[in-house]
Amino acid sequence: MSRKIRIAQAQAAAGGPIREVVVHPLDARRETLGLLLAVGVIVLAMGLRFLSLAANEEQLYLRPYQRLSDGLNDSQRTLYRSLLATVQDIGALRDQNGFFPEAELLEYEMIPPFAKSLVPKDLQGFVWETYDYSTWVDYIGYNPDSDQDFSYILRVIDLHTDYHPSPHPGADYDPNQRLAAQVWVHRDPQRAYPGERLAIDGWTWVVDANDPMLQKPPDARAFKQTTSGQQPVKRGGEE
Amino acid sequence: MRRSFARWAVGVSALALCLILAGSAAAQDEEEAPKPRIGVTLHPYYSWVRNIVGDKMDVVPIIPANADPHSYQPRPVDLANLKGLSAIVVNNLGHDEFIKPMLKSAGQENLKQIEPNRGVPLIKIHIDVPEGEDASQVAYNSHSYLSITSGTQQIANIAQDLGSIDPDNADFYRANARSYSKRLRRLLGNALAEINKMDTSKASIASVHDGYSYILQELGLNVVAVIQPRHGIEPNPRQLQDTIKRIKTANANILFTELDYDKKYVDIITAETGCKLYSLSHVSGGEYTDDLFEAKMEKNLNTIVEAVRDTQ
Repeated sequence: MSRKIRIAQAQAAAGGPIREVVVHPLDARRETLGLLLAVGVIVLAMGLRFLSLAANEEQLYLRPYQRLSDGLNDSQRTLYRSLLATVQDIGALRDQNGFFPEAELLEYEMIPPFAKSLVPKDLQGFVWETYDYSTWVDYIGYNPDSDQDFSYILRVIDLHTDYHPSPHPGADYDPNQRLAAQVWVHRDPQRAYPGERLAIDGWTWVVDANDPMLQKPPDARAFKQTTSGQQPVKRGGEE
Repeated sequence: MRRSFARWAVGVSALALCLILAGSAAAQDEEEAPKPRIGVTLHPYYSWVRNIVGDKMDVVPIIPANADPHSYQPRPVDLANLKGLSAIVVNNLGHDEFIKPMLKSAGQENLKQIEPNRGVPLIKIHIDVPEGEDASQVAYNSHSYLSITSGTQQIANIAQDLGSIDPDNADFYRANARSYSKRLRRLLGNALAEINKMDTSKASIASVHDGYSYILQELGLNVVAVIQPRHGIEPNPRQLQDTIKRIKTANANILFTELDYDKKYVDIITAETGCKLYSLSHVSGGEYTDDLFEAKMEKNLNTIVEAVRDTQ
């Protein structure tokens, strides 16, 4: 039925002309705006949350001479992990003997990676030398049979002494921790021992993303940049 | 004469009585002094702490012996295990997430937490997802306890922290930790003595569990494909197809599975790829015993040696 016919019928029924009144449906504009606003707030909150998570993941403070262990291959990582795990034994042997143990003693004590029988084949060719500064010690390792491997230095520092070799943070984070260990690598597979200052000789300090120190901004850590002038005693090895 | 003897006898008796009383009081004190209680969230930590502390501390597992830490849901009865603890050893890398709500519920949020993974190098996980899916997810492998080398570093960390809780016995804990680590290294040495004699380039390894990467790395073995990158996630058909494709591409001939892993996926892959299947323990179940970690790791190492030998 058309609209005109319906009006005519209604006029006839009412006995005269009638006024047409258009009744609009309820206005949904406000609800629509409200909904859009709510969606906008949710999207904004999600975005902010995403940004904050992303920022947390990337919040690592690396020094120019530091590199993440993530970039090491499996073999390098195995050596890196083995070196860091030696600290307990190095500390115990130092307490026992009054000086840092030389690499040969660590080998004798069956401590990897110094003990060749406790590392995979491709790490057995490494030769280790010891440089004892009395308050810290450096073990330098290189593989004379390979031109592919890094040179490595394991530096173990007595934190309960006044001087920490550069660039170790001057502050101790855990008063119960007496010894700290650092692993440094150099691309030259047979790099000569450089002395205390490793960074200026092109060595890089391998750090793990798990290291809580990397989550603190550099200015929160007082780095000592002086040198001690101490001369190491080369101990053990072929002299 | 008689009087002086009587005086002497009374004096000696009084002294003896004093000594006996003092001795028994000291013994009573020793007996009654409560030992520090150390909670542990994972099975390996139980073995480690027990081997460090001997009888100087009580070691309290938080979850039941046969509960899987990945699927464990805290129960009110287990909250009682948190009572009276001096500290708790936690993984804190995502392997024991259940402990946070438990500590909160028990009002023990300030309980000293010993984190063995402090300073331990972790393996980054690149979650290998099929083409077209988001490949940007990165995480760190929380199974650092499935390794002798990382294990010894963590044992040293725990011993150090326990020494700060009980300084009188700090040397004892350190000595025990060293001696235990020596025993564990002997296991590694035995396995390496065999593996280093073999041509490991013939072993192309796939695994259903990325947690084995730590132990395989320290044996000089590489994993070419991980089938199930995270616990509790069953591969969908597309991922399964992708995995089979990757194993075929990598030409893997060894497949390490979990002892309790659902074999249906493994069987499909084995049938499709021809990989030989070997089971490794995740060391996350069974009765809590001092030698659990040692025994399971020795078995794991022997299984790995056997698998590599079969490829020669």
